[in-house]
Amino acid sequence: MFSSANAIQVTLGGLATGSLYAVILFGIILVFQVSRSINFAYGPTGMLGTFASYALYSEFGLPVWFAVLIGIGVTVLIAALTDLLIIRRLPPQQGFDVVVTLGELLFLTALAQLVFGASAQSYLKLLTDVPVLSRNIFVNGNDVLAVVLGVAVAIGGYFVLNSTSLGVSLRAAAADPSVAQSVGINVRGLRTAAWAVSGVFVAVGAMMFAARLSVNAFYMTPIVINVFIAGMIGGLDRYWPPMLSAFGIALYQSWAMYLFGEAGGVPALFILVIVILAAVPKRLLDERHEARA
Amino acid sequence: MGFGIFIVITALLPFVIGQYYLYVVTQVMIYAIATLGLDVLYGRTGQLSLAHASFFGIGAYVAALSNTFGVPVVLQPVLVLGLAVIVGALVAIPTLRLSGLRLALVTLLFGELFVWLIDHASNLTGGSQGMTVQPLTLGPFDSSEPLDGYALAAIASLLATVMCVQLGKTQYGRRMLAVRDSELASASVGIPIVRTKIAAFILSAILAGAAGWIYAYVVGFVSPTTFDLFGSVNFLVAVILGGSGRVLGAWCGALYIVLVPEVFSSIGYPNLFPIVGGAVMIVVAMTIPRGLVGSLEKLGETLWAVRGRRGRAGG
Repeated sequence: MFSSANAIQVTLGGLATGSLYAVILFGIILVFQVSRSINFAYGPTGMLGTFASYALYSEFGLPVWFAVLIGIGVTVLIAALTDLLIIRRLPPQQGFDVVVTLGELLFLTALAQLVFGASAQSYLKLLTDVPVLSRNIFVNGNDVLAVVLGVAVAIGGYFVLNSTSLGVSLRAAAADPSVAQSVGINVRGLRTAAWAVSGVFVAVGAMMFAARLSVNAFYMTPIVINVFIAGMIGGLDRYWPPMLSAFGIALYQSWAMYLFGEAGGVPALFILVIVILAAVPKRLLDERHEARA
Repeated sequence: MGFGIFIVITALLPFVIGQYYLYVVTQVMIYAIATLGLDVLYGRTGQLSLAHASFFGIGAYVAALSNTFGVPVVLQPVLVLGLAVIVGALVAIPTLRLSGLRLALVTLLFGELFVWLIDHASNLTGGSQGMTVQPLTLGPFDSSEPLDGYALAAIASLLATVMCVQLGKTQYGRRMLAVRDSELASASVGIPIVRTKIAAFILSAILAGAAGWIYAYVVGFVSPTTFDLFGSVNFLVAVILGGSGRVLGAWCGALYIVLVPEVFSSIGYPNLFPIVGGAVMIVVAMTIPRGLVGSLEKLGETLWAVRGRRGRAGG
């Protein structure tokens, strides 16, 4: 039944999910803006770090904070190695970053299934068991943390990319690598660093989502599809449009699932994308900046 | 001559190998038809699609649901063809303005929607549990008999191969290659980009749908896990490994995606195939971007040129 409490609940849930989408999307934007590459294996990269942290906590008895830190470290390592061993060695053919990272997606997902098993598991609580509001509207500590992280990453990320010398170097390396190299910017190092840092964001997002869901090797696939769609709608060469799309898509899906049931999420997203493709002017879909992808 | 060899080998195989291996070869032929479809779209026209397993699934579920609804056998190929044309065009039209990541994402979303439909129409499709498919029978023909299934797959794969070889010699085939290499240059010489892309999507969907239809009858079981994102990535692995834009490459790719899992199953490690598949896709894209067949062609050209130079020097 529709009530104002339900409406607030749905909106807050969408906001928390959108915040985590924004955290994950920031890593994608960072990588794209500095290397013009797309990492389709981004989701499984975070998933492996999440599974590693859980294994360290449950099998080896490590403290939660330490297990989480090592899990993030695992994701950072995989992301950096993706650039070092794969992306920078690719032949200069269009779309090959998409192709090889699809291969990596298959590889990492199957590897996780082999190592951690195919059945769904529950993850660390990460504040999901700490109620913040619990009378008519239910909000837990994980929701609050998600929103704080999402807003902090969105604003902080904008500041770093636009108002710091690091951000200027990143944009210079993306705009013209040879000129950036000639003025002393270590373009290759900067790119690998961007890939590595993107691992932090997907690991945090993957762990936060894992605390809310039962997880298996495939749990990050639909999440990252939603995040990529936010990036596609907003344009990965921009900043605020994709970030706001992340929040918008999560709110839209929350409402679609509330109104049409749990199963309404996928067709609602599909309809949204088709409507946007039909309505958005061609110049906004122009991919002249997407060199490889 | 190539087709002659193909026909002779196909005719002799049932006398040489046992029923199980005949069933495996049948699957290679079925996957070759679908891989040829993705090769038309990705290898020749440059359109990266992650909905290919869904096209394959449409054909498979037409076969499965035809049992339920009692659709006559002779009408089923027409149904597969019609659905493939409609769905191929439906996927193609919204993606005409897209390329790269956006194209991959929108086609992926079509694939997700297909799996969602199968899962949520569980009273018809069996949902995620899948459904059994009764054999196709027509007079003495019975698709559950290895030899009959093999004959059906052999004829269909021969037709698909002939069509793809001939396509390369037609104006449409050359237009596809031009669109793949440069849309701007193609438009400047008057090639209808939109029509070419839609035709590629439709042809790709028809080949995958036909393969899926035969697959369902030969295997006797369909479930959505065969037709999800990972199914589409496997088709992409087949095209890239074999060599995109090459008919022989599609066959090599099909051999790989059918035989390698068989090998892993036979040694007791069936779960290793996706890991190896992912690694193969990465390594092939990095080291031999032309694929196996393309690289062998290049090697042959190089050796031929060296031999020619030596011949001239000697003479």
